[in-house]
Amino acid sequence: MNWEFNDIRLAVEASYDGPRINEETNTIDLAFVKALVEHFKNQKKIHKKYAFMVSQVIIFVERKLFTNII
Amino acid sequence: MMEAPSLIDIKIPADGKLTVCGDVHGQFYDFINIFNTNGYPSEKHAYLFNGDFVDRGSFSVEVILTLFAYKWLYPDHLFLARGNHETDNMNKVYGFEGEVKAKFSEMMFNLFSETFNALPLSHVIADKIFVTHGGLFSRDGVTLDEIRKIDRIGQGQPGSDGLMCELLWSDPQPEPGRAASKRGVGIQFGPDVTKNFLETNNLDMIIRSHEVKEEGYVIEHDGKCVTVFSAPNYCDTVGNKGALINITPDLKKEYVTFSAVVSRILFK
Repeated sequence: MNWEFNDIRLAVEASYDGPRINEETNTIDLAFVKALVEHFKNQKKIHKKYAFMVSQVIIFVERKLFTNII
Repeated sequence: MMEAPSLIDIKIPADGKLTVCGDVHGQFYDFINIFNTNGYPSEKHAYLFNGDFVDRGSFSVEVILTLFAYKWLYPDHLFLARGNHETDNMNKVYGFEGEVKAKFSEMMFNLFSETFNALPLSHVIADKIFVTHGGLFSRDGVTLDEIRKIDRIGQGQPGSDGLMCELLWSDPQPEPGRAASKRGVGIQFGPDVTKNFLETNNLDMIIRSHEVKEEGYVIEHDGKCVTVFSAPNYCDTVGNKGALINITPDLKKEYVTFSAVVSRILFK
């Protein structure tokens, strides 16, 4: 699907003050999830690129019968 | 690489526990309060969220993205089941579609819709406890294997009849037998229907959600059918408690109830 590709190429602005996904490894860790929760508690938005990335991973995880894939 | 079935088998962490939560409905501050009071997900503390994460509340995006992030982090210890609100029709009417368009974009909503189609419909805990959002079926004899094989991806939306629809929409009733649902979708099923399903599949009990309850949970059908609902003071008006169920590896169940947090009101 092209829209995945297009949006995943979005750059994250330097001014973005929320948690970041490591785009070298395409992994997240507990620190990211904790920072995400704090960010949301403060009524701030996650970057659109990361919302796309998280959702795409979940489609993959929920559809395939194995884990630790990304 | 195999396609995941529509029913997922869960084990309780050997030296830990599994928590089952019901409807959250976008109440982000109450949702985080569950973790603050009952413990955050980890490899020793698994969670199963039994559908209806979104709609109604104003922070459905925050709830669903937090759940997805935990699912990515702990794919074998955090489980998400589809509820009747993880569907396009409901999201259009009850707020999630509008919220996603306001906070992100229509494209993002389409992606969420696709993730909802991928969610499993039911779970079985330790071979004994059947967990699904709504309930049982318009016919006897449905097996776990039939549920596993439901083509949820091909079907996409649950529609207005069939196994997928009934899993997401049905409600228990105290009277034996079956009746038409007041909701107009799914069915109502009595204690004999529950008993028959459990015997057919060698199970102990059903946990389901889908209905607000004054104390957050209700035990019906001779203890064989439990409703758990985790959105306290639902829609800011109902005044109900929320509840969750902690289950240890010996299958002992602890019912925990909680009230709405104040900060949610301050933030509105």
